[in-house]
Amino acid sequence: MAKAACCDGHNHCSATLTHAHAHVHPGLGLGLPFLDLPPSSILIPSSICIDIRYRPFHTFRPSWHPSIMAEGSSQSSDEITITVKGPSELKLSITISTSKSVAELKEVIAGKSDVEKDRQRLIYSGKVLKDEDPISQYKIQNGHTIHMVKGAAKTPAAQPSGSTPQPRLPQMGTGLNVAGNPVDSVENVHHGLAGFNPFAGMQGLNNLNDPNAMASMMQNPEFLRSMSEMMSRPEIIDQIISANPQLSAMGPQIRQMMANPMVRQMMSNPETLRMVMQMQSAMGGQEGMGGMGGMGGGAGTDGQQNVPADPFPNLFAPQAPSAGTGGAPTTTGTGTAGATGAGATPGSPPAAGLANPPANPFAALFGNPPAGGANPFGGLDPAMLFGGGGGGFGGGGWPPAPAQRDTRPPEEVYATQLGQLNAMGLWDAQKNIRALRSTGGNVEAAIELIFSGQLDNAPQ
Amino acid sequence: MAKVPRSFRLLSELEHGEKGIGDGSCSYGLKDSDDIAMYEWNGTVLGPPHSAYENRIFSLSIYCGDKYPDAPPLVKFESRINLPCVNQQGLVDFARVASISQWKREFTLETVLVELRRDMASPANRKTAQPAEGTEFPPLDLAALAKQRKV
Repeated sequence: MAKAACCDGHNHCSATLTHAHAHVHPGLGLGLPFLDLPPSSILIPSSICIDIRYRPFHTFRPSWHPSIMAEGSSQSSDEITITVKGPSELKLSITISTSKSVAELKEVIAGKSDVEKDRQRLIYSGKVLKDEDPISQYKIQNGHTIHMVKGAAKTPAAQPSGSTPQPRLPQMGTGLNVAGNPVDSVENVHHGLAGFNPFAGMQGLNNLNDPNAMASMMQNPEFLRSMSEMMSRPEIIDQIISANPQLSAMGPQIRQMMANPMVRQMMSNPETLRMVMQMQSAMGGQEGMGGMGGMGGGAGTDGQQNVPADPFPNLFAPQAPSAGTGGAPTTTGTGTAGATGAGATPGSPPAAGLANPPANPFAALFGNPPAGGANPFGGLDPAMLFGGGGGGFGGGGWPPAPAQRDTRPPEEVYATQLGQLNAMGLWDAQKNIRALRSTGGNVEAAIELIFSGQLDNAPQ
Repeated sequence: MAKVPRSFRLLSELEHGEKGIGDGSCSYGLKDSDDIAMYEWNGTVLGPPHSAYENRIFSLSIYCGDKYPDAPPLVKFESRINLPCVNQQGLVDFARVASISQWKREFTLETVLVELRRDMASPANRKTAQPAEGTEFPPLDLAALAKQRKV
């Protein structure tokens, strides 16, 4: 009887292998029928014979059965169909010969997704697939799933420039559109989701004056990373310095200081930046934010009003061609800055790539009106920031934050909610977080949002 | 409810792993898919985002002894990692991972990997500086160790 069952299992498996695999429920994998058996008939773990016989049909592995192994190889070619799961619910079905190499598989995946071959990392059953190995080495079965993970970008600049769709560039002036990270790209959400979107209705320059918008950007790890990346690149530092007469007047010292890891850390430290934000909002100053207006170029009065004081806009201007690169310098007459801006565009593409919206608030932080007295934010004026000779930051220069903002990553903030979503089978962490963020952590609303499909439209 | 014996339990886990769990942040499978006794497993954990582990894939070796799932498996990091619960050999000390320090039969390999990943993302460990990527712990005979520890 047991033998018959085994054969049935085998027929079932070989006839509809894909089918069987597609329908297996993890919970049922335990094989409920076996629970009725007396324990003595089950607890024979070391007996191979029993082990195979009582295996639930859908877990029957052809490779464990000599006769099937032979049959399997004769009846079908070495082609298998596998599922490749990637970031952001990417799911590909790929049929490929197992004699091909992993590198070739990656090429196929690259052709079907927007993840170039070099950035793909494939994981199957706890193994990282190596490019040079043939697929057959990993014994991947028909219907199995491979996970594809995006590796780190080869150069820091590659990521934002590569993953930001062109049409979005003109919108960067809003300062809210944080490149490379759909999670915080409030704008994406904005189009379809007014009901869910706490930022709805904020567009363009309005955003700049909204502390929440800035705060959410501050919480964006992507932004913080590019910030620190930026600060660790000498050419960027050079640009910053040469773009700012005050800084360049300070000579080589300033470069040293910028290169100082302490200072760099400070400038890329989320805490510090957030603290600054809080100080600003605590003082009710919207003025400092206006510095971001310079970014847009076409920002209108707000932008113009602040540009003279803003040493940075030209750094970023090349990123927003439609915003009129030349606009800012000509109207304001900051000659040095203009020159830098122009030079940066063709001359150093990587730098230009970096100096995109994530760096935008940078401008706001430093681009304050020179009138220190009127500016609640004067502590961040570049001259003061980097001034004081080689002394760097005075420790006392930073008053404690009035209130601690939540500095934890979204995964942690929404750990409970994510757990709930996972339990419901919603596995795309990125999407879940995006949904939770848009709904302020409301699970029900987040689910509704996810199922509405509106998040699917968001560019990656 | 009857106890699910080791072999069924591991088969079920294997199948689950081959289907690909969730978003791929944790993955595991048999080291050798012909290993009928299902002792030796591989696992990977994707470094949690916004942590020092980000963008890395950590490889692990897992040994499910005869007593699994009544006893926890032996888990060893192959990729070097700086984490309090991982010793100099790469072995995971379950006692130091709060959520799984009290082993329960219901815990699975996935539980272990997920909890390890959570441990990486915890505020205490999130920012710990990590060894250079690509470096590995020295090899270790988990089978021998399992015998010795009687798991």
